[in-house]
Amino acid sequence: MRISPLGTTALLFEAPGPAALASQERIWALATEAETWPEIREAVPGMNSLMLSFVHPPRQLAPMEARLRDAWGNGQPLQQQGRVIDLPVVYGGESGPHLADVVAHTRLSVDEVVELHAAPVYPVYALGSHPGYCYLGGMDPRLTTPRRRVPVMRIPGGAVSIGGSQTGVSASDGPSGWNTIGSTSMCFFDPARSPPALLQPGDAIRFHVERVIR
Amino acid sequence: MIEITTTGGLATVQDGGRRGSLRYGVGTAGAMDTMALAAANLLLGNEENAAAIEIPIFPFAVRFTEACCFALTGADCAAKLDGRPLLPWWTHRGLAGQELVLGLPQRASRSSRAYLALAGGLDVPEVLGSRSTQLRGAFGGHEGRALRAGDMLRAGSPDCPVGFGLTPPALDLPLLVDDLPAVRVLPAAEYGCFTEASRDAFWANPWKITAQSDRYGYRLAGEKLVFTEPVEMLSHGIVPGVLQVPPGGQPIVQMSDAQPSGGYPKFGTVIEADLWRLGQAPIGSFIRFLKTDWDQAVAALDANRAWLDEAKRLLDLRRM
Amino acid sequence: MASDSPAEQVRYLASLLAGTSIGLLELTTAEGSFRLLRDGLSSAISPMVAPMVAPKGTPGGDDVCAPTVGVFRHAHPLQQAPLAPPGQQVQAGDPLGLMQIGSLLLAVQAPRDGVVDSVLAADGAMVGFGTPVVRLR
Repeated sequence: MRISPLGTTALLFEAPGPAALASQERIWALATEAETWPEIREAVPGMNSLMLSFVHPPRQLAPMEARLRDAWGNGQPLQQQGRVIDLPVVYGGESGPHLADVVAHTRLSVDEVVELHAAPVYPVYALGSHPGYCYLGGMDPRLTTPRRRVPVMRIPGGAVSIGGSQTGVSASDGPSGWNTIGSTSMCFFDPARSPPALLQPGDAIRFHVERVIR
Repeated sequence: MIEITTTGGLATVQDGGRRGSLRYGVGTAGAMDTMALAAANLLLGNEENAAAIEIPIFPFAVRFTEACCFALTGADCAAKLDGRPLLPWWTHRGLAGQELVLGLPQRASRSSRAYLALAGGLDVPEVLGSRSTQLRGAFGGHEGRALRAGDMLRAGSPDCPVGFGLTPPALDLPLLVDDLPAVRVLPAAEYGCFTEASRDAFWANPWKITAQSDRYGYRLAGEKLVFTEPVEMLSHGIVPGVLQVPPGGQPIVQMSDAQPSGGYPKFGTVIEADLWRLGQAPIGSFIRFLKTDWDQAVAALDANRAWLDEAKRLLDLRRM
Repeated sequence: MASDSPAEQVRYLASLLAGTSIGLLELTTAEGSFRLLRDGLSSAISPMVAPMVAPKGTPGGDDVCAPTVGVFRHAHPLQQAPLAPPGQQVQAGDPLGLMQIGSLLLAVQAPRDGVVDSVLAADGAMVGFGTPVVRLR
């Protein structure tokens, strides 16, 4: 495990080992605990990590670090009984311009890529990147495809993409270095709603193949 | 009300920033120079983090549809009210029909962003606890976007005492190295993943703010940071100030519109107390980095706080 | 500004100076003058009434006086050019110079339209309330 400051704004806790659901459940438990500490404004889960932002930075970091280590050591996994959201996806075509790149890199067929991608129930590990965006766990490692050498300046909201060993759905228009393989129409974020994000850690996404455009 | 009559684009409504929504993937946004924003608000007797207009491209002009008190801080842009020069870092009163024009930032001020605050703060709706414009996701500020000619903005109150100013904190709290503006950096988790030679060079040499720099981040150009070995990272929380190093070795400093998570190795973090200095650095200019530690970084926040408290005290006495 | 009574003025000035590095200042008003002296060890400001001095005449009534105690500035700290160099045409309300108290800046405003004859106080000089700083013609 590693604890490091992000300036005086926040403290970053990184759990040992690769990202896995069991470890992530301990991260959620740690977040729930740390959020009750008076110095902490927000406890924000990442992938196998937790960022604690300060109301005011403490005069000394060591006591906070010790408390964090203790809480991690004593913490029990927090099993969330989340919702599962079904998302129909159109794979390929204009809204999946990089499907061919994933096919080329993985040496799988289009059908195999689509089948492997739509098979699991993907748990939401964390939110980040942009409003409403979910980091998902559980992608089949056979689909792993490196991020693009040159990021795309604007991919639309609803784009389903693969970056390295992760997959996700963009929640609004913006730049991305991931490979877009399809699209879905779902409003993941509405600032007027409470909470504003559709999903939270512990919820899950299941992709349904609506259509495959070759 | 004021009407935007000329804008080069990218002028946005910003306040002290949006806190508490990182868990939804929402970054803080907020003014790039929080000291200039706070000073403008204190000059008007506003709440310190009230919303104002942040202007990075000039000329920029507004017309007053009714009498309105305002403050100008940040870059000295040779502002004129109906052609008459206005003092920078000062409170003024505009009358119905008058036009306020901000020209190019004067070189001597070494600043790039001006702040126009109105008495009572800009009256735009609060979204998730802030009036700052969140461009990705298009909410907050004025209709979730940069201002355009023809936009109308309302002041929170019509009037307040005017006719005084503040010395800019860049003069009262100077931080220069070899006559270049400097900011302090606290090393971050992957600091040790770079060669000693490139770490030394980072502290010893000037860095250029490239043209690919904006409210999201500043891409810097200088002597390349060299990894001792490739570093693979999982996505994790980041904050404005974090100095990420992509494989090419040229660092990117996250700024106010930074996304709340990232996956590049982190060399260090420009401390919160110095982000306002970086927020004013013009494109094409050079800056220096100073290595700091936790105690100094916290003390620097205290120094900013003391400057603001003293300014508020003097202004409150003035208004008595 | 605070009430015009001398006691209120002293209180106001003392509070302004608390926390600054200004140790001593003299005020000259129409009624007379007095000095505020801060002792070297504490940050308290102890008012000390000096002998009354008759106000000096202002020739032609054209001298513009400092509206407060403070450091007189010819130019804004961000700018090189003096606000009102001799010979400059000014309009009523234009700033002729600035008074600095800590980080607070106040304008010495032209009381009427005119031409700057001379700047009487040096740039950076500590001046008292009512000290003539700029002469108009």
